Amino acid sequence: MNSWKMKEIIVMMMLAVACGVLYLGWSTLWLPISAIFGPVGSNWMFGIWVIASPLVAYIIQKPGAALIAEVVAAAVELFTGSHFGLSALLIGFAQGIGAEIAFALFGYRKFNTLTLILSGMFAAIGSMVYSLVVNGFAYYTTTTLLLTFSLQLVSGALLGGLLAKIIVDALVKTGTLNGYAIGRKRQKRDAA
Amino acid sequence: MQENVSPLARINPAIKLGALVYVMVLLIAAPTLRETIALLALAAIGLGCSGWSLLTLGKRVAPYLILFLLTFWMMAAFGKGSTELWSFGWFRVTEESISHAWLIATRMLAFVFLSLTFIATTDQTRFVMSLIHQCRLPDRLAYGFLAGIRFIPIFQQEIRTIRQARQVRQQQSIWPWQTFFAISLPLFTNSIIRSEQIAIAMEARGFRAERTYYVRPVVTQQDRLFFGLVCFGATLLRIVV
Repeated sequence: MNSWKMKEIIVMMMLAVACGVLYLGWSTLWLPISAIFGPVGSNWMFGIWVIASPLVAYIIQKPGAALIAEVVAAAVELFTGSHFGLSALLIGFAQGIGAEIAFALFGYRKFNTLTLILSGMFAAIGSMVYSLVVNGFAYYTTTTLLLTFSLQLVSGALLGGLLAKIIVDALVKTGTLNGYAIGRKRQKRDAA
Repeated sequence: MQENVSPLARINPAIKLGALVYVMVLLIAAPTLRETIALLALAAIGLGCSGWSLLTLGKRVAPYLILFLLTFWMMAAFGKGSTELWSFGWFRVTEESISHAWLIATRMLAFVFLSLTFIATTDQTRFVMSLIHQCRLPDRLAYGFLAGIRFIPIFQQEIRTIRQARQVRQQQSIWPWQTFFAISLPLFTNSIIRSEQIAIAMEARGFRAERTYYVRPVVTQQDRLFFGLVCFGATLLRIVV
């Protein structure tokens, strides 16, 4: 933790909290859709719930950022009294671990489209393990289960990883990120 | 989230969280409806001791009944089973899926009761402080987190403003991720600018790693008793029922 600058810690926390607030809005959108279309018809929306990890990890580019960001975003749901409550904390932890593994596999040196998409997918896997154990997904019919999982993987990759990449790249263009790992890399490349 | 005068509010928050998570783990491990209902009853007692009046309790719990029905419905209509009772379109309700639905929905409701018990009786700042002292959470992270959660209502207001601005300009998209992008980009830009200011302000006021504390949360005999009682009671319920 000592290698972190104060402003890196704060920006991680603020972005994670902002993601948490966005998750809340996304949940209200998700509830009616899931009732009508079931787990298969609603899980294309899944990816947004894991976006905090790739987003923050891509900006800070340090070990632990992905895990902490997702847990903090989940904590926001607890503090605001969302319907996921304490279980959001547990599932956030599962997703964060998954996302973190993707970056750890590359020794925290590669932060590109590939690792971001991978982290979204690994977060989906973490979430699946949790859902299987806690939410009784094992009781779904096999077709429903397989479709739900493949949808979550694709959604984690696109709405989690890829969208995070697009958003951060747009943020870099605004110049607000110049003081962070991602912005510095961009400046170095422009200078070269 | 604010603490009140209930006896549960005096318990050390980290210890309380530990005890509640232990009950959640037991709930996850409970394979039958009977055990789940017993633990749900325990969670309901906790909620009863949370110091909220009956009216507040009713208001806070009511929305979760919809969630209860939803969880029940999801499992009943999409769960596996062989004895078909009713089917319509892609919904297929079977005897087995209904019994699984009871289990999962009851577990979910017990989670909600535990979460509400925690939220009702815990002050955010005291919770984070006890995480620093009891769980060795690095203090720079903890204070960063405290700064972050102060912004929850501000972010919520900001999202409303952005949405209204989009409405006025009739910028509607049928793709939810496009809307997400359009709302999150200004929100994130603002929060990055703000975090820079907060970090500078904290360092300018001498915030650093080695610090002393005016109030230091401790684990008292009462906390140990509470932890022991909850864990013992929950385990007993799990074994006996």
